[in-house]
Amino acid sequence: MTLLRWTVGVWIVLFFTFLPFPLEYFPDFGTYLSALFLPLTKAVSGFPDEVLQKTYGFSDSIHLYIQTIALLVISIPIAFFCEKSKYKDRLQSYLTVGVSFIMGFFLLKYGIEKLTRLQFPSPEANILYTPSGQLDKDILFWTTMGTSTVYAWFMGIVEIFCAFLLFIPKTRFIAALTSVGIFVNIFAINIGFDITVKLLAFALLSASLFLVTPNLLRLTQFLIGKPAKPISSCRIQYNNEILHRILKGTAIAFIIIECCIPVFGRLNPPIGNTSLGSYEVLSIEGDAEKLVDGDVRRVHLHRDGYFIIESNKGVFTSHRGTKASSSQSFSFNDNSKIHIAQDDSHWFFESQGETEIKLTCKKLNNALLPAVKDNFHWTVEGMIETK
Amino acid sequence: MLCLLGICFSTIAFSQTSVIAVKSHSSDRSEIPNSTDHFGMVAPIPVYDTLIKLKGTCVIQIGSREYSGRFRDTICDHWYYKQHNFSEKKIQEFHGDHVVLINFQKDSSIDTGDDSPNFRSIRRNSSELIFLLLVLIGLGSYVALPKLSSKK
Repeated sequence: MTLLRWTVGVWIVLFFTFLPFPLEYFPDFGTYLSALFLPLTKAVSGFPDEVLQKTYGFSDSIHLYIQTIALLVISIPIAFFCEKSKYKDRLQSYLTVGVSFIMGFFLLKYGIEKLTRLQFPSPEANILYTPSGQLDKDILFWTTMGTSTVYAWFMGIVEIFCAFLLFIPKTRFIAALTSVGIFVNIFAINIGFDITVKLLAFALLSASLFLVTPNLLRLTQFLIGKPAKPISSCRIQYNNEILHRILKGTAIAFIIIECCIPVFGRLNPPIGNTSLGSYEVLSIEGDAEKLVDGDVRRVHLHRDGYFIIESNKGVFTSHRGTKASSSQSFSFNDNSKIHIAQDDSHWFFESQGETEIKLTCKKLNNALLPAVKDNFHWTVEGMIETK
Repeated sequence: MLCLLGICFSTIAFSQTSVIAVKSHSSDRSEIPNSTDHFGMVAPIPVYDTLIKLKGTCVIQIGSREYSGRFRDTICDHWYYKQHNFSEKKIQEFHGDHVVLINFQKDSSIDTGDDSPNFRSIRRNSSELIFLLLVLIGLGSYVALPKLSSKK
């Protein structure tokens, strides 16, 4: 193992140790460790302290880039020490297995998210009514992915399968090879669609390449028909089989718990969310002028608690509130409320506060929109509408 | 302003970055610093009903999440509380009257305590504990497997 390879391996481990990645079941130790580099970021980034204080834990923040470079510098002396150590063979196997488990964690986490449609969910009501030309590439990509259950499931299953193969020494290389394909694609998507998970995708791609490279020559020899040695599977040698199983089993159990717990309780359908969606405004009563000059075409109720007004000119105005799951009212932070009522054919949004407005609306069935319908055709003839 | 600050306590219901989350509800990009980034990970929306301030800079947040039920989360050194000096008035203003605030500062001054700034604890609901138990049984079986096979 060369010094360069040691440096990359150590950097990968440090990158993920210091990554402020949100953990649900275990403490967010990465967030606290990442804060250690905050003084450095404040000194060199040039951004105001109050902004950095809020964004330092964000994906693709300036802090994360500076931290990554700093960790790379720190990795060099550690790698040098490892390379010179008499225990370097043992350290190498720890490093390789450690990187495999880190990758397994991320693949399992994102795979489960895709399988349960928590990543790439069905597009929000307001997005469905926004012309595609008005959307930025990242939200347009996210929306497109959210329209296909089949593709989300496919990606989810591939990632979960790959994650479990990484935990087994014999299948680790083929899993790493598959993950190179997965992460090259994800990195290209994040670059191409300007999605702000570029650095994490790059680190995961580096990790998969780190696992693949020792056997790359043997694979190439095999593919071009030359005699090749068998692929070496890296494993930690233990004298005590039970101890080995306890350590490995505990690590996998931790990963499974951390990946599954956040989605576990969320597979049940949300309660009281029948009013979420889009509404076409039929009439406005009261101080209509106070509501975007009375120019309201539709209103949308967003899953994250936003009351969004769409004007006839296609301008969307977002108001954050709280919709209690058990009640039919929408509370805003300035203590004003919108009460939601319905009869057989209409929905009514009545503001209760300084401004008194009543909107009479018709609920739109967004499930009938072409982007939401999960249509599938094997043949082109099946797409031809018959009159 | 309160609307903007509100985002700090609202997390993204679905897996997406803060930038995509802000764009998904047609909001202004100035909201991005006040949103919560999750590297595209799950973070259910919390609705708080009680906030208890502990000694120092820790706060117990009690409430429920839309999908996963009741939670009790202790956080320390959160920038939002610190920014408002744990002021009962300002925090009540933001959360609304339905949230019960206990031990917050009426005079907006921070007291000094000895609790760890890195402390964070979350109580789990029963379904999660059952799942945890199943994983532990699986782990136990995996560890005991060689012994069981050798006895055969």
